[in-house]
Amino acid sequence: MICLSKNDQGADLLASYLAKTLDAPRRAELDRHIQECADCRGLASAWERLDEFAVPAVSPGFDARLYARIAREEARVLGWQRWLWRSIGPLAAAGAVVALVAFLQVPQEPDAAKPENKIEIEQVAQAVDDLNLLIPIDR
Amino acid sequence: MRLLLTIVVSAALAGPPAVAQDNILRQKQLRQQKLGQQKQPNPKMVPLPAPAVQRFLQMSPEEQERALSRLSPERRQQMEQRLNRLQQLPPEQLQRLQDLYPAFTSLRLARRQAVRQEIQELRGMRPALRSDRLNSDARDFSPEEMDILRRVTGIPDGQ
Repeated sequence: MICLSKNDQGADLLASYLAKTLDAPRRAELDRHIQECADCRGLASAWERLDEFAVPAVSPGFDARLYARIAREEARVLGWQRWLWRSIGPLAAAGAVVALVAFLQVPQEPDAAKPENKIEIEQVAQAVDDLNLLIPIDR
Repeated sequence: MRLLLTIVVSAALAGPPAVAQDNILRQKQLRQQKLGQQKQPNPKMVPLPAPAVQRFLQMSPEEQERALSRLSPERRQQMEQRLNRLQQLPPEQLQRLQDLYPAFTSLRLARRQAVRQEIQELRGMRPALRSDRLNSDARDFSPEEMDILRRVTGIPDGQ
């Protein structure tokens, strides 16, 4: 059976049939089938009409206009992006500066809370203890 | 503050002029003397060998106070007393500390603690017994540690 709608190779068969490259026995078989099968007849006539469709001629300068339009569209997008960066960039920089200033202005913990200072005075006290301990004993 | 000072000085000058001027001059002299004592370090003073202590002594009174305030009251009092004692040591004893302290700090931490304990033991003993104790110490302490112990006790090797 050569029904185009029920054959996995239907599209290829039809293309070959319309291009007249199909071998004679199969072409004859498909001719017969198209006379009998309404679906395949409709399909074949639709394809034939597509082939008959006259492609309008491309107007002169079409490519140039198309590329110019693409370039304009890209420039518009880039311009928007630049504007966004120009607007947000300074804002982001200002925000960063404000954050830095805020960080630097945050009241630091008093020296007493710093462990290194605590260690330092403990070191001094320990050194004083050791020096006292090492004072030669009076005999 | 300036206004207050002006009022005080004016009030002082309001008395008999000669007496007031005399008082002011005497006060100035006293202040100059005190400042001179505070600013000029004793040229004969041998610096303490511990850099941390020396740094502490070079701090301003306010900085020293801030640092000391981080210690407990008992620890602070103890440190102040011991520091005073060090500052009143005669130069020859300070000189001996100059040699002893670096030798002591060159010991490993655990050995430093052992030497500390031994010196405390030796300090608590009667002088007659120290020599025997030192001789028995030779088993537990290195020659460098023994040298420190002997120099602190003033007992030379072989006694």
